[in-house]
Amino acid sequence: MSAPAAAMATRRPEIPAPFVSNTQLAMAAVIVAEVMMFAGLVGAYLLFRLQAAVWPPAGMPRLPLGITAVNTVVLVASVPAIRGALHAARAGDREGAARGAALAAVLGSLFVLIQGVEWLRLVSHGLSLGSGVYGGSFYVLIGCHALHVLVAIAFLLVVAALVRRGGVDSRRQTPLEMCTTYWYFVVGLWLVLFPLVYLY
Amino acid sequence: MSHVVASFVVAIAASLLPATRAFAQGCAMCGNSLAPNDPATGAMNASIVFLLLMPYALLATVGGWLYLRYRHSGPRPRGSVIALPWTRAAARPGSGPQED
Repeated sequence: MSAPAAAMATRRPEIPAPFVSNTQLAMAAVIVAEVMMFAGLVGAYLLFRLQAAVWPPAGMPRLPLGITAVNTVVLVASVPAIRGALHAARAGDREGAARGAALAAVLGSLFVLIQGVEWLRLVSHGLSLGSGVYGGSFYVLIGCHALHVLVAIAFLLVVAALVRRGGVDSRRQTPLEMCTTYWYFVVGLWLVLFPLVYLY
Repeated sequence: MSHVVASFVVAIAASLLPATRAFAQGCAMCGNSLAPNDPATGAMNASIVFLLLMPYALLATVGGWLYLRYRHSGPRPRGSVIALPWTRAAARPGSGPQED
């Protein structure tokens, strides 16, 4: 570095850290875009659901409420796990943070697995993507959510590996924070979709 | 500054005046294809209202989040005021970098 440049560098005023980091803004933009995409799907579902005199249509199976309620509990149980991972990372406990993220990934995988088994049962009962607006709206809406859960699980596994390698510690937890935010979004979205599709 | 506010108010008023006759119009496809007593009409209206409200709900949520983050970020040092040509006369000495 030349002498004038070095002098300018030393004279540069200290810039305070922004109150919202670029990573947080980027994650907020992603989540806003995802919410609008799901809003479109929910709007289409509402259109089909509200104009139907009988729901589910005649000859179509009812959606499995009991096992899906249990599945909801499994997904919600992953929230304390990921919160614990974040608290452990802030306390400098790398092993606890990796364990919490891995536990959340396992619970998320269990959620997708149970849902996949239920889908196979529904298909065997005659409810497929081509079963009119009932099957189409159900599989597209719930399938999009399942796809997001899978992406979040992959995110969790990457972050868990990063934590084990030392990429997340008591001073730097941005990847784990962003993963936690995305996981909250996925769980919160399910808490909207479950009553709308299964209970309403 | 008062000129800017006055221009803004006049522009808003001028843009609203010719719009009064357009309030009763709607989408040609939706308006003509749905009968008044059709259950699809209520479903369409509910769906439209839901989709209409979502961007505002998101805007309020993100705006509230940013506001709370800003409020909880504590006192922040303000940047120095740059003296522009039309504010240079009013700028106090030492309040910011001078151009000359």
